[in-house]
Amino acid sequence: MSRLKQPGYELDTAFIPAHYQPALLVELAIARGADSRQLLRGTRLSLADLESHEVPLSPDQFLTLIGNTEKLLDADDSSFMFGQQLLPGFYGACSQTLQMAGSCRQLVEFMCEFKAVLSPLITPRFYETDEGLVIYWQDSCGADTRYRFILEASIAAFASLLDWLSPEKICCRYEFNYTEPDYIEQYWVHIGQNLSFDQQMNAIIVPTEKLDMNWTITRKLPFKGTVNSARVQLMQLGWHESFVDQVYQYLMAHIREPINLDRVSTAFMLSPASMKRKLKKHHTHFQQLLDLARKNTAIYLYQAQKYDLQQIADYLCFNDMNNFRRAVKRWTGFSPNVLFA
Amino acid sequence: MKKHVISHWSYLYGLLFASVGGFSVFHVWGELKPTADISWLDVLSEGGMTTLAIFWLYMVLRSRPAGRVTQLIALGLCCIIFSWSMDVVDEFIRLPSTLLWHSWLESLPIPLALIFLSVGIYHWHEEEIAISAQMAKRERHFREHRLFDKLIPVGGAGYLRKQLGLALKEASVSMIPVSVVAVDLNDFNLVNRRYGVKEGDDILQVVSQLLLINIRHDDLICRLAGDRFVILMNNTTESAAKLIAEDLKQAVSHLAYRTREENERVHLTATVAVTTAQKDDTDSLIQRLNTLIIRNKPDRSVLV
Repeated sequence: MSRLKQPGYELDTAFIPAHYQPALLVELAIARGADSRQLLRGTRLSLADLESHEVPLSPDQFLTLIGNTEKLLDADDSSFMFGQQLLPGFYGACSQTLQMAGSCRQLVEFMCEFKAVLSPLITPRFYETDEGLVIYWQDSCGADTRYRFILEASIAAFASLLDWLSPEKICCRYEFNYTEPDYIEQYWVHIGQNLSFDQQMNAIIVPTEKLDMNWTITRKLPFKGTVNSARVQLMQLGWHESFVDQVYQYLMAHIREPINLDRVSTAFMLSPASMKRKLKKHHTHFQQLLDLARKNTAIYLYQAQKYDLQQIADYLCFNDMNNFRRAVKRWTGFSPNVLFA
Repeated sequence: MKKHVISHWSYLYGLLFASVGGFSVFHVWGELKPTADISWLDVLSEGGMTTLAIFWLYMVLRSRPAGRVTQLIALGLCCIIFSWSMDVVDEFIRLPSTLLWHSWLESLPIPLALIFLSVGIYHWHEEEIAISAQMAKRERHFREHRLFDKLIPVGGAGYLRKQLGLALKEASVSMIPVSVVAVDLNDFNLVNRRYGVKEGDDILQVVSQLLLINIRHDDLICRLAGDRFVILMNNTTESAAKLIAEDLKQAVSHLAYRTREENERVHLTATVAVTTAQKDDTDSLIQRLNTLIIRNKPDRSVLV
């Protein structure tokens, strides 16, 4: 349980430096004519706070800011424009590390390692299949109605960063777990043509052949130093991941074992009631996270390990195939025969 | 001659002043009606009319730039509000019928108001014709302000879809070719990265103006999203559209835009794509145009 010695950040943990992502968002909004007073309404912040490095924001404050921006700008491309500015960003050594990444694979690894700095509201994770590297995004703080904005920004940020760093064009595939929005043109122009909607995850698939292509001449010593100072930066920030992420990861790690609220609560040294309360604060609940973990495991086994239906069911310890079918239908909305055909 | 522009607040002050004046006339010469004599239905309807007229004035002043048309319409509305508000006061206070003021206060402003409004609306009509001439390449046949692009003074994707739908329907009946041209700036997100969103937005506005100048009178330009513009060309074959597209590409590369802060020259290049509708619907046509533009994109020019 060494991982749990360091608790995860929660919705009301103030740790996001105001001059990181929030300042970028405010600048965009003001450049597009939003009134700064209305923009900061409900955030308990002043414009001066955004310049200082002393006032950290909680995810909740950042989300309020995002909600205000969405409302004030009322344009379909706000999230994409914000995203284009997000990465590598101006977040100290972590940003510098991204810029020094020697290949796409390394870039993704850094993104995931320094997620608390680079992407505090949404967590990138990845696994590899025959087709390529699947990078998928998951809500880390209970963004609720603002999740779509954050997701669009993050995907656009990654696409734009990849476009910027890579010496040749990488044609990625994009999957989204919602239906095609009516402002689809924004996706075409800011992300790419290769989109599919109504999928199981929000993911970018980078084709295998581009993954390890060398981008830059690596300067070994400065590179190592930068990565080390990025790790120090993360340590000083004090948070590696969110509380919800930790619960999800615990579930993923123990997915083959009989698992329930009591057991997870004990592992986190919380009473079941506090665990429930904390999850509720982040707009989720235990069963929802467990279903998500199982669904993602099933998809991973199918895509990456080429398991068939029976093997997946065995892996997830379903004795009864009918039970498994029903469960898959509940997690994904599709029958397993369609999904794992 | 220096044009005298009345500030928006002065209408409200003037109105307030006149109303106070009118009210004092009532106060000095009139006598309060007993409650039983007050017709509440009249109060309600006349009060409602006055409130509505104040709302009209507010809307006109909020939305219109100062100028002749605004001035005339606002003066007309001020007269109406004054007259109607005197009507309301009339319900509470009785003036002796011998007093000439009484009918003056209520009746005199109305013809004045009608004259102001008529002249104002006539000039408004002239103004609309002038604006429509300027808007000609940005809208065809119908105006829908809700579909205007938020940032750039041309229609957005929604407007394009509507117009394209109309054009395609028309084309299928009369068998005339409809072409669409897409113009997409190369590596525009690098411009945004380097100079910031504000400068990027300014560049897009300039580019939209530039494209507007370089298209024909009957063409329609819309911004699909970001830095991608689509021009709808009615009654144009693919080869004719290609010529214009090439001109647009040249125009963009010759644009000497300089940044606001540093006066730095920004070199822009564009990729164009042209396609002509063949048994297409709106979506398939836009889809094909997008695929073409990606295919036409040059290999990455290294921009540092």
